[in-house]
Amino acid sequence: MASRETELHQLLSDSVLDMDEDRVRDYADEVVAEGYDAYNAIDKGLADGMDRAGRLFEDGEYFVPELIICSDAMYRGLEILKPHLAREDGARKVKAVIGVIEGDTHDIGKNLVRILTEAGGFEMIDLGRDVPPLTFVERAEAEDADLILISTLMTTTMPGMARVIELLGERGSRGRFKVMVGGGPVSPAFARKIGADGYARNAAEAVRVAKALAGIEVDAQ
Amino acid sequence: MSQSPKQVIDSVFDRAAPDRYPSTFSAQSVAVYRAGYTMERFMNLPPAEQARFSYDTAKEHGGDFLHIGLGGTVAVAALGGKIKFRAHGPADVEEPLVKSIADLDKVDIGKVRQYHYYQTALETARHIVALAGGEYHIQTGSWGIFTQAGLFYGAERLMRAVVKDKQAVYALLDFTLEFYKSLVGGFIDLGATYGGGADPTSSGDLISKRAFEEFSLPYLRKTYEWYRSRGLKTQLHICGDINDRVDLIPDTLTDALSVDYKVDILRAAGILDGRVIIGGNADPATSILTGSPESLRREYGAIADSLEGYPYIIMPGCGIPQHTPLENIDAVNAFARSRAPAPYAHTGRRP
Repeated sequence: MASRETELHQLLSDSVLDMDEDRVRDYADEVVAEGYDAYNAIDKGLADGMDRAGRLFEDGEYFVPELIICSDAMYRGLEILKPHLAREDGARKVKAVIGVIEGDTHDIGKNLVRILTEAGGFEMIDLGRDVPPLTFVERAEAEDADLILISTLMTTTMPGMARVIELLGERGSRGRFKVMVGGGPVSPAFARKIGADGYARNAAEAVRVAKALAGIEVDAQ
Repeated sequence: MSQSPKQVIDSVFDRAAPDRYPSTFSAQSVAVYRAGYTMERFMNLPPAEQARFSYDTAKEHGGDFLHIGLGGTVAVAALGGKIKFRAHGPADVEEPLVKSIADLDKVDIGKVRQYHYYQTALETARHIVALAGGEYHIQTGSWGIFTQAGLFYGAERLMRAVVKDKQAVYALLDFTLEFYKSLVGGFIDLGATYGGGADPTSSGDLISKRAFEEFSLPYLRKTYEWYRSRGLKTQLHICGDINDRVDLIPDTLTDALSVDYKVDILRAAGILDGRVIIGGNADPATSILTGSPESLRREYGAIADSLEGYPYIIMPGCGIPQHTPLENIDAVNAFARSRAPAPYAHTGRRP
């Protein structure tokens, strides 16, 4: 029989998947009240629910509206659980800068990638939207990031993605970062053409590609 | 004597193969960029100068339409929203116009027609219609209603409301439809003959087919009913993957569908079966921006071959980046001029 803690993890995960913010709040409160480990509740409950939502997205059962509401539910739980996290063990997470390229303010896709990659264990530095190519490069260097994730929803701004890679080359820092691109109009052929290291078709796939680029073992689900 | 651009388009709509392939490939945004203008600077040129530039660009580089109108993004500023013009490419909405649906009551749609960019666009349109002299179809339109609603309310907020607050979405869409008619109607009055636009937020990349049927489709239909009532021919583009909803496109009442490069155009044509003209669909970035004239000729040759017998218009598979080489656009339009489609077998009409 599952322990109460395991049961709460499952309930948190299911509630995120069901887009039920109120239930997430209630179960997160119970985790705290009953003294269970907050990190495990986030990892095995909230992040697991978001991961399952990402898989439904890939299967064409969930779309962007559903993913956004799942993430709202996950963040509701994080608000409650984060203050109760034990001190970090000092292990360095894989770090990535992420943003929408200059000229484009459509950030839904970027936000979903950030949420899912954070849930997947990455430390994400969110540069926001309408980000100049040079800012991607400078912030990645300053943050000592491992990955640069660039998104756009417009064909007209895609050349800016290539510019990021050119700038890395000009500054001699191309080898320091893995660059991943994605967004509605971006194709694998375009990613190859500009010399990106990775391409993701959607937010759920982005987590797997980012993990592969970072050398993290990918869950074969 | 060869057909004029307008006659070529009319032939396709009459389901009679024209004497060459029609093309919507326009060099306008690329020519604006190469002439050293930002979009903002171009829009501030005297109307006669803007019109002459657009007309000369179409004459020199091809494309079977002349466009008039004011884009729905810039028009957001007319209602009090905040937009940002850029060095390259189109403008963006920086902040949504309203934070709640109740705020729509305070927005005066009539303001759009007082807006200085609207007045300039109207004056430019008068010049373009005069220059066209019946040789070209005059195209007008704006973002689809669902997409424009996202510009007013914020796309992420709209996505949440689709699941959590359907009545709010309908109120927003009703408001947006009235705005659309006010924005576009003045250009129809001036002589536009062809209407429509792009509705990227209705894409399968964003919303489910069910949400499309529930929210986008009814308002596309209202839009295209309105165009029909005004006597215009129509076209719809939805960015991204719409493979799962091609069967619903005839219900929008559009005459022509422009498909993104992510859509299997041959399969789409099979579903539409001549009821809707089809256009598309080379990848704007990989093929059109970074390909060569020769590779584009090959790609469009292959698409045309695969759709032989179907009423087809050569179109890009989404918006063309401003850095696209003019030679690539010229190559596609030269290809269109060099070949005549076979007689149509798919007319969408019952024998």
